[in-house]
Amino acid sequence: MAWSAPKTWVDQETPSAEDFNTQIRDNLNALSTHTHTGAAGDGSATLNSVDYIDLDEGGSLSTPASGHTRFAANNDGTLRYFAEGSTEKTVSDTTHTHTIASSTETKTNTESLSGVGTTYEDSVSHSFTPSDSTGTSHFVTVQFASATFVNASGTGGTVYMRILKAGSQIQETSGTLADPATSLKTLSQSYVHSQPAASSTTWAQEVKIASGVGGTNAGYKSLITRQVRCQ
Amino acid sequence: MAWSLTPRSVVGDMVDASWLNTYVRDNLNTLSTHAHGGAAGDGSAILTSLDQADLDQTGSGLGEPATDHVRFASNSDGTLRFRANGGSEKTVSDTGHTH
Repeated sequence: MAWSAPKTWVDQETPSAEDFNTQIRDNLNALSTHTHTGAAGDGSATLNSVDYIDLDEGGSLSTPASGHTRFAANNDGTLRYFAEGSTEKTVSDTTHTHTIASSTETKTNTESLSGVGTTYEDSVSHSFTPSDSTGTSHFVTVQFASATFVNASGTGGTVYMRILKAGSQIQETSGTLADPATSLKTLSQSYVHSQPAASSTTWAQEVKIASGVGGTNAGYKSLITRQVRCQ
Repeated sequence: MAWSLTPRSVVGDMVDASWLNTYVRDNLNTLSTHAHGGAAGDGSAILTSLDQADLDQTGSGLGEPATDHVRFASNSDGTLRFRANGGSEKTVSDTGHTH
């Protein structure tokens, strides 16, 4: 029933049935089903001091009108909203949890290590394209490398290992290989790349020894690169 | 327009223009724009059985609500927003969000 702006009554006026039906009945009927659109007789579109709202729990939400977002409670006890043009979503609470997922892009290489020189060489590498992190899903790529050096001559010294991304050194580590022949020294390091670019990238590991160190034989080197994300 | 309690009707009372303007016109006008503040004529501050609310999507940021109030609305980007008095505007997250 349409709302009519309430009239101003004047003395000596004799209200008619039409007056009462229009001014009182119809306006009360309009108020009885008001929906707060802000139109006259429909209640303000701004509810400025509501204590709380008890929402009836219902089923799936239908699409609201253009330019609107529907908000309601579901039978499962969750709050739902549905923006026009989108899909129904469930409101998250502060106790929600996430799981860690890894992508299929897991690269592992383990190779023998021998005849290490005094400049970085003997690279282990592989390549893959990280997932796109420019949206709401952010990925990290974990790069892990280790190498075991074996003293082949009885002269110890410093041994080095570094990891690289796209040809650039990311991180370097070193340690001392003991003097006795057959002594072992294992170096390991890892690095977390936050949201790397989604382009084909070479991930590498390289080793070297200081001048005079007796060299290695029968060692190994290993490079693992794995992409993970929280979901 | 203020809300006026309707006086007890007594047989023989004369209903004049002033009575009608106060208790019919002005009260209808008050109800016409009620905002559920809980005061008489403004609707209960507790809405007890609402099925759903279709919120107008607004593009601009939420203004700061009055003291001890939290404002809740929807944004034109399809998200739900809220802002507590003294706080900043926040976006409600959904269960499909990722990190």
